[in-house]
Amino acid sequence: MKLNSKQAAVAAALTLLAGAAQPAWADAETDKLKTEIEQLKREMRELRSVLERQKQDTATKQDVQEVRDEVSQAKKAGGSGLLANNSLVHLAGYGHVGYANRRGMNSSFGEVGFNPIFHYQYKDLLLFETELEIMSNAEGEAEFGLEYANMNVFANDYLTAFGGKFLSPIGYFIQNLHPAWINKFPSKPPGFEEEGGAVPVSDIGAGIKGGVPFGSGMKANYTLYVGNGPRLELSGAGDEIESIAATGGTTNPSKHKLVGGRLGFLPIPNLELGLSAAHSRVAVAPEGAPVEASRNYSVVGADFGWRWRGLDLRGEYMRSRVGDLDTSVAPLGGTWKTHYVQAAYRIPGTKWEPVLRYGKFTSPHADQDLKQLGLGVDYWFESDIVGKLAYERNDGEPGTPNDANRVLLQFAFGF
Amino acid sequence: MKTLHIILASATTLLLAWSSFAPAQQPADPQAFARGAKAWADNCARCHNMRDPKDFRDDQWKVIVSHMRLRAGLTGQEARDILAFLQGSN
Repeated sequence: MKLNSKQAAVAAALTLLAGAAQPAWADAETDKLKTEIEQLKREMRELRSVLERQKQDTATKQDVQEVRDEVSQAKKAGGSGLLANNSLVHLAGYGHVGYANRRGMNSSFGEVGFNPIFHYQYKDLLLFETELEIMSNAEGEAEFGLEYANMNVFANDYLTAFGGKFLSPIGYFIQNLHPAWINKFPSKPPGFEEEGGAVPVSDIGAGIKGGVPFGSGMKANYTLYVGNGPRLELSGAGDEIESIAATGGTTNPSKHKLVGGRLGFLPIPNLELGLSAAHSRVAVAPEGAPVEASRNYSVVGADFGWRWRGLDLRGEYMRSRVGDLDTSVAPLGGTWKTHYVQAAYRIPGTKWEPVLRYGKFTSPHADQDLKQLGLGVDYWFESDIVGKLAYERNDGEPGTPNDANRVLLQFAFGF
Repeated sequence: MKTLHIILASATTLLLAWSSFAPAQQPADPQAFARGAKAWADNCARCHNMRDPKDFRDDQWKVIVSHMRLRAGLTGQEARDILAFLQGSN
């Protein structure tokens, strides 16, 4: 294309203008724009980086499904959803606080205790259980005790083998009713105390136990065991057997083992009849003198429990006998025996439960004897939280604490 | 007494040998819940008030029922039924 003279002149002028140097304000604006562009580029890079990280951290639906599949497989491998890891641990226990006013003596908040219980279970095969007893004493110090610590192997549906320290299977109260939130009375029946009573409290040994159905609703349960057995406590003068130390120890001076057991029979589901017996040999171990020859020890007992609607009726008899030994520093043995019957009735539609209990304990020592009639009332805040108020009419040797009546108040809980 | 110990030890050994130490997993039993409800009512109240199934989690009930199997002389089947009832009601 050929340009005419006018067009050529305009083109020359524009070329000159374009090729001329830029003014100062134009340079500053360009630098500012360049800076902004660089800033935007940096921010863009940072945003991309953040986005990448988020992609890595965020679970997709596929990821969630994969986790679900893994959990499901783990449950199947364990055989049960609860036993995916095969092992279970559990903390239970109970506590109580009480007030006692014994006639003619000081009243006090004298019963404060906490009993934590630890369980460890492995599959359906093994259960380890232990209970501690922590009590506050008169000096304000804490006393610790090991109520039991034993291993149980569930061999089959009808037999469990056990070993360790366990509550005595002789009788029913000690093993099943002694926890404060279960016992309907603030105190234990006469002769069922841990010290100086007529009832074995615990033992260290091994045995078997279980339940057996007989059809038509009938059932039996049994316990058979071997243990170290009790020891004998001498009086202060050292010439009488003061009491039978019935809590399980790691030794028995007589070097004999106790063999015992209990058989319970339930002809109908709400009635249980039990018979208990144990036999061993015990020996006096005077302080600073050799252990004496052994002598017979035996305990027999019978118990029953019956429930009908809100009525709970139960009773127990127990007799412990230590034989005589002419050559001993304490030649006379003796018989410690006790029994009690208790009736409790949960008033329908209420949280109130009156309780009536009668018990009698006799021993070779008159100052230990006690005949007791107790009347109380329980208020159940919940099934495992109870407040108890009771009055004991105690009849013992005049002048002894056993002869003073008591008012008892107790608050107990189990968990 | 020594003879008695020997008899006791022998009996225990035989019983344990006869026993199966690894209880087989039972297939789901549709009647377990109903049997468990009855066994729960018959056995738990023999000593204490019956507890609400919601008082504990399922895994806690597992251990508690094992403990009560020892205390109450329950059979293994009764324990499984009661557990099925408690967990099914929770």
